[in-house]
Formats: sequence, structure tokens, C-alpha cells
Amino acid sequence: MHEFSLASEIVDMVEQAAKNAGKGKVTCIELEIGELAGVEESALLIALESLTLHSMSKGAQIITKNTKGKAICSNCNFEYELQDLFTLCPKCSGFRKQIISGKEFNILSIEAE
Amino acid sequence: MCDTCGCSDNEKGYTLEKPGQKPTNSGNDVHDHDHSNGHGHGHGHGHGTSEPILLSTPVLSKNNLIAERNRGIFEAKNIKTFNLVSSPGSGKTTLLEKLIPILKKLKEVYVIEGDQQTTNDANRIDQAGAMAIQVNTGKGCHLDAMMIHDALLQLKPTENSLLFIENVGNLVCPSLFDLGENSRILISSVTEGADKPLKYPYMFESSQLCVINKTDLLPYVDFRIDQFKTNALRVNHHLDFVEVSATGGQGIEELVKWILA
Repeated sequence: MHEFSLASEIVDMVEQAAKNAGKGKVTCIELEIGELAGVEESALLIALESLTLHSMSKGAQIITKNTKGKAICSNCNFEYELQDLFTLCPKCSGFRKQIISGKEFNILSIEAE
Repeated sequence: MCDTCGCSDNEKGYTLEKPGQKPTNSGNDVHDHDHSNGHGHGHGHGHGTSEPILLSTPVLSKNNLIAERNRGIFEAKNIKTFNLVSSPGSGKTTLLEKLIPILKKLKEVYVIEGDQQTTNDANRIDQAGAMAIQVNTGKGCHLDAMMIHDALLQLKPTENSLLFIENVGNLVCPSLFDLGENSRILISSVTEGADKPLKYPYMFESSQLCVINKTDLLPYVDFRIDQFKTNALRVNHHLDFVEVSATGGQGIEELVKWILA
């Protein structure tokens, strides 16, 4: 359950950013979670909820932006979408590929007051 | 307790222990790491309007920064570092016990052992003749770069040596945490099933070598090595393979070659 560590990291970074801006309460956290990031969103949200219970982020709205997984086939250069790491190229069935999106796992922005 | 780096106001979330010595919490902790006091007092804002603050920061940026720092230490001292990952019981420690006497003839060998509890593995490594330190993660399911950094300060590996990091037995969580290693070696045993790479793709994707262990058991298990390799290559077509029997010794030489290459 590494999502707990990740949530803890998010809370630390978010609250530091809010304090640096002279704010006392975080009201919204916007995250980007790629489909291929290896992060279970539901587990992350539960962890965030429990970790912020007694902090300045308590009750903050969590917005998640999910980036689609995309790869370019190294065999035929076809660009295709994939929800996992092992989908074969739909055009040539090649397995050699370069993942070009979907691995993002970022804190995009926060709102604080 | 901060679950990310294990620091807290009272105690570390993880302990470091050398075989035959008392455990310590890590020393020389020089990272600063603000923890909210949990009360969220306002600072005289009073107008109640939220303002957006752009961050655009990777969640793992802190871990990755410390991992790069570790990498710099390894590069400066010419220490080749391997992060061993696998599910529990795949034979990581037995494999190290086999490798250490061979590698010791060529270079100094150091091991950072990661487990939730006990120093059993570090003691086994100590017996095998390598200098070891045990990181007990407590409740943590993976090692992170800060734990490695703290362990390095105590282990003090010498120049031109080899360092093996035996990660917590877990095929999921350690995959996301760069420790600063040169290579990640995944150990999978023939008793685990040929569909492992598809069930746990992230670990296979982030590794450079896959050691297929316990090949001496092949006559007794329904395990298709070709199927396993095909599945693993579907996830990561750059992956190298070495087939070994840690107990019987078959394939160990080939693995030594890969490590020293």
C-alpha cells in the first residue's frame, strides 16, 4: 500500500506551498494521475482523507486529472492508447514500444485561503 | 510519523541495525521537512477567498532528488549498486549468499537489507562474508531513497565496491521508488507462475535484469519459461534474463558476468 507514502508526500508538499504563500487553509488539491503511473487512485484518496483529518488540508476538495496511456510502436511507428503496460500494437502486434504518456504523477495546483 | 522519509518528532519510522550491534535510528539527518502542526490556524487572511497556487511538481520529486544524491555518491566512489526486488520467498537472500563468496574475490561487497522486521537476513549476509546493514521499515512496504542515504552513512562502502540493496519482498510498491541504483534486478522463481509479469507489470517494466530462480524445481512445477519470458518482454522489451538455481549453483556464473559487465 505505497499510496499512503505518496499521500503523505502530497500533504507535505501541498501544505508547505500553502504556508509559503502565507495561507492557513488548503481548500482544493489538483492532481494529475496517469493511467500508467502505478498509482491506485481510490487507495490514494482514502489515504489523503485520513492523513488530512487533523491538518490544514482537512476537507480539501481533491480533483484528479487522468492522463491517457499512449505508446508509439517501435516496429511500425503506430501511436496507440493503452490502459496497461503490455498491450500489443493493434496494427502489427509488436510488443516493442515507447510509452509517451500516462506515467505522469504530479501535483498540478492547490487553492488555499 | 511521516511515512515518506520515516522522520517524526519523536522517532524514526525505520531502524538501522548492523549484525551484532544495537539498533539505531539514523543519524546525521540533514533534510528539512516541515510537518503541519495539525491545527491549520489562519494567518490573518480573513477574506475567505481561495487563491490558486500552481505547483506542477512530481509527487515523487523529493525521493527522486535524494536518489540522485545517492547516485552521485555511487558515481564518485565508483560503487556499482543493484536494487534486488521480488516477491517474498523468491530466493533473494540465498542468491546473495551464493554470490558473495565469488564476488568477494574481486571486490568488496556491501549489502543493505530491507525488511519490515527482524535482522535475520542481515545476519545471513554477515555469515556469508559481506558487510551488511539491516533497514527495518516497520510498517513500510518498500525502501525509499532516504533510508538508503541514512544506511550509507553507517555502512560507509569503500571505493570500487559492489553494493546490493535487498528490497522489501513486494512486487508492487518498491517499483515506484528510485533508490539511486545502477540497475534493478528482479528475481522471480519458477514456483510463482508464468503470468507474474502481467500481474505485476510495473516491477518488470522498471527492471533491467530478470533472474529466473529455482530452476532445479522445473521438473516438479508447471512453469513454462518461454511463456514467462514472452510475457515479461511484452511489458519490457529491454529486459535481460538469467536462469539460475541459487541452491544448486547453475547459472550463477552467468549472473556474476552480468553483474560485473
